[in-house]
Amino acid sequence: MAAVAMRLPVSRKAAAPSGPRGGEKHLVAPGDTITTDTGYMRGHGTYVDEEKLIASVAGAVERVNKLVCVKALKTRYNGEVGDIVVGRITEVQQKRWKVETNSRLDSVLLLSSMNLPGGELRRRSAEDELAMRDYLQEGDLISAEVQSVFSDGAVSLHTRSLKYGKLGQGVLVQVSPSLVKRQKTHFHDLPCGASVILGNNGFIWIYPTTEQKDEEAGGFTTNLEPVPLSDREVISRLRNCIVALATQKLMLFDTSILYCYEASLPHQIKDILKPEVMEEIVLETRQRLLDLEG
Amino acid sequence: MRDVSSGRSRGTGTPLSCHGPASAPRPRGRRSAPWGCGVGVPAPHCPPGDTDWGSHHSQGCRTGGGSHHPRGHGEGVPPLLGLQSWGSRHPPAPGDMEWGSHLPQGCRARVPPPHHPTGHGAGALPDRALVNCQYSMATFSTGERKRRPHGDRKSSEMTLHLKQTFEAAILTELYPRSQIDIYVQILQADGGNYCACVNAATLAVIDAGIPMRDYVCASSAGFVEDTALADLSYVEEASGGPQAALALLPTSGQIALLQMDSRLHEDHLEAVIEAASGACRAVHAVLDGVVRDHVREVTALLGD
Repeated sequence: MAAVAMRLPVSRKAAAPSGPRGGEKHLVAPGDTITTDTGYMRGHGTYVDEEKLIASVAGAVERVNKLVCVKALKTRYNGEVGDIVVGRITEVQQKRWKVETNSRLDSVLLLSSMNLPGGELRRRSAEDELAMRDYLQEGDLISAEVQSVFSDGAVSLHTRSLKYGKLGQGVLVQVSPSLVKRQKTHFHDLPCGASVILGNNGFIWIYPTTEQKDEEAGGFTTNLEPVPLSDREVISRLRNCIVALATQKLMLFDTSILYCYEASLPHQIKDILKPEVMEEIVLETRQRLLDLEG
Repeated sequence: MRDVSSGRSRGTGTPLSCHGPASAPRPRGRRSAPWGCGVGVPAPHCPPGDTDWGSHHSQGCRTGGGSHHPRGHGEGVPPLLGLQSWGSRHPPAPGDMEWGSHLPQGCRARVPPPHHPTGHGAGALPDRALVNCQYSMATFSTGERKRRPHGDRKSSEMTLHLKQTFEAAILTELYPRSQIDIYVQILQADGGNYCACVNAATLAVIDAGIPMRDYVCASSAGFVEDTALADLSYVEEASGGPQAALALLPTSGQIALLQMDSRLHEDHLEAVIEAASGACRAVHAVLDGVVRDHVREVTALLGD
């Protein structure tokens, strides 16, 4: 049996727009004039030239009262206070770590914003500074919350709660930040047997559900016990489902991921990545979500 | 993201895909297909480290002969052949998320999203983004297979031109202390290298969501036997006549770059620039159509 599946390229049929919703949006490309009315304030994705408001990215125009902005299809993650992000440590500097969060500048995690083991609250001393590498090294994954945003757009993170911290065994999936829906909570325990953290920056972390929540760990001790095969299969299937949803551009939230998982059960895990299967699963998911709303 | 049939021959059936009436016969022996046939056709589950691209063949037919229009038929502005689709990179590859890669006429461009400067010693500018371009030619792009070292004079010059062009077009003030990379590679060199790079990079930058003032469309133009020609092919460029390259922002009519290395009588300059501008606007029409289709499709899919 062949180890590699090959296929010839096929012209993809254009996706049928679901319902008449597509007609209302005003779609623009760079250089298009949005309006010549000077009463509007300009937002992201626009610039003013000779009293005309011109779009600078390709996307849909959004008007909120007097504010006009153009939402691009793909953007880097722009941090907002209170967002949950999943990031990877890239550098260990004096009193802070640099974290890569798929935004245009690296984010910063200050030593004073980090939880100490045991959850104690005390002033960070020189020994803590020297021991920074024991807590987090380059390449570690963390979950954190955005504390503040600097003027140039760089984001400052904190892990001041016990639910944030270093991530242990699991799978990371990177999608576009625009596909992650904003919700009240981004930590979900899915009934299929795994848990997922939907980072607002597009990094999604899937990990096996821990049976008991241990309070003392504070997120530093990583659980390195071997994960049973059934859990691993669930996690792999979830990962492929998320990739399928992202490819078909469906918003990611716990319900959509769960429905997609259930729709994919008849298929083998590795088949989910095939384009026909992807389309079929996502179509079914869309259908169920529409039924849920309507 | 679309899959496009990658047939080596365009097979449109129009006479445009053949040589125009007054052109010199193309030396068929040297390349298999004079008009670029896009190499890449995306597979949705492309392996990490690979880029998707749609295949575009703009400038599929370039003949000299007799008019300002790229095809020399004297008709109205012709739709450039085969700017078919654009593919954009989809999630699965770690660290390489939002790239656009597009291939007009044997050229592909890759623009990763703006990021922390990787510090080649240049460092970050405090108020603007640093635009970093890299131009390279594939070994199979010309008639003879030739290895091209990075950093030779021609590619440095081309890199500089691209950098200047895109610094003029991208709104760099919105990304202080960041770096925007544009990597361009020529897959098939058949004249108009710089122009193909600019067009490809424009699509890639738009796909990456980087704000620009306007599209940047480029075309070359020359002057032969008292006629201005637009969009020169390799044969026409090699014949030694005067040639200019023009990069235009179509909506405002502003020129981003105008470059000429040869001698031209100033009376003819106006005609040459006119010819190039016309071709640029034609390219703009095609690129615009592609972008709008893509935006419409993605917006419909995202739905809510």
